[in-house]
Amino acid sequence: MDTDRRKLLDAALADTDAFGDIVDHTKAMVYALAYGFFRNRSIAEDLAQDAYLALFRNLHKLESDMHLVNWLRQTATRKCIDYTRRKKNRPHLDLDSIPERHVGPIERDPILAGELALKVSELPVKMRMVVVLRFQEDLKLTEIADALGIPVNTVKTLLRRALIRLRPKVAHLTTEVAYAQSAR
Amino acid sequence: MRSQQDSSLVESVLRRSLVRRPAPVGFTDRVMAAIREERRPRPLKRNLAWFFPKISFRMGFALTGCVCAAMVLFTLGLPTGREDRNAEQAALHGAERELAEVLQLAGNKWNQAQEAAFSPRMDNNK
Repeated sequence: MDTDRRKLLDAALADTDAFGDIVDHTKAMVYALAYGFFRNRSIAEDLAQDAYLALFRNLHKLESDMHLVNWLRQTATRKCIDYTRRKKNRPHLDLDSIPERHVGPIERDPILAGELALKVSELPVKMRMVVVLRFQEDLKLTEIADALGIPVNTVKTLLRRALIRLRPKVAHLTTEVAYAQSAR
Repeated sequence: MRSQQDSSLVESVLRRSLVRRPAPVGFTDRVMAAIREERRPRPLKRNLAWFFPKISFRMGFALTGCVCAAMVLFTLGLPTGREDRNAEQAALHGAERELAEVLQLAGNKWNQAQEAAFSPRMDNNK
């Protein structure tokens, strides 16, 4: 997206119904961010909607479409962290997110993915958000730092600690899954 | 070296496992409905609207300010009233005391006058 483009922004400012285009363009990022963090569909939907309502109220403050995306990401991130702090929500997997068994070799193992998502959801709040932003949203370290409002070095530290925590679990899970696949 | 390999393995597994989940169908409509709901002007709740006249926000604010100011002035004015009453009572007591003194003096004078009036007669009678 071009840094200076204001196509979406200008359209939404001129006509409220055009705000739907912004939602269509960015909902994958916002919803996936909230879902990746909570692993809960209803919470993710509510938080994503809150983020869009906040965007609608602050639309006139934004400068470009790129700014809009960054602002939205930052808002969604903060809303997720705030919600966790407010509700002391323990992350859990709901029924619809438990993967079904697949037959045959596939690149993305749903069992491994589900187990790993559960392990990620057990990480502390900021560490979890860093992992989601880095590996799900594929953001650079500077972008993560910008979204979370923390220094890049802190992001690096959080990421390193998260990987150290996840390493034995991942090794264990990959061994288990490989064994299960070879046994089939 | 081993640690780096482990980290890259973990990273690649994480990248493969943590994938974006698409937003549910109708999510945009839900958001737009929420925005329309927020934009919709809500009527003010007036339970006793039939009783109270319709006043503007500024007018209501001004009235509230006046009532508050009156209450503050009344509260501040109370000690002054009490002081006035105390001063009045003190003046009353003073006046009573003066009257008593005057009456006493008058009484003394009366007695002296009586004594003066009657004593020569008594002498004359003698």
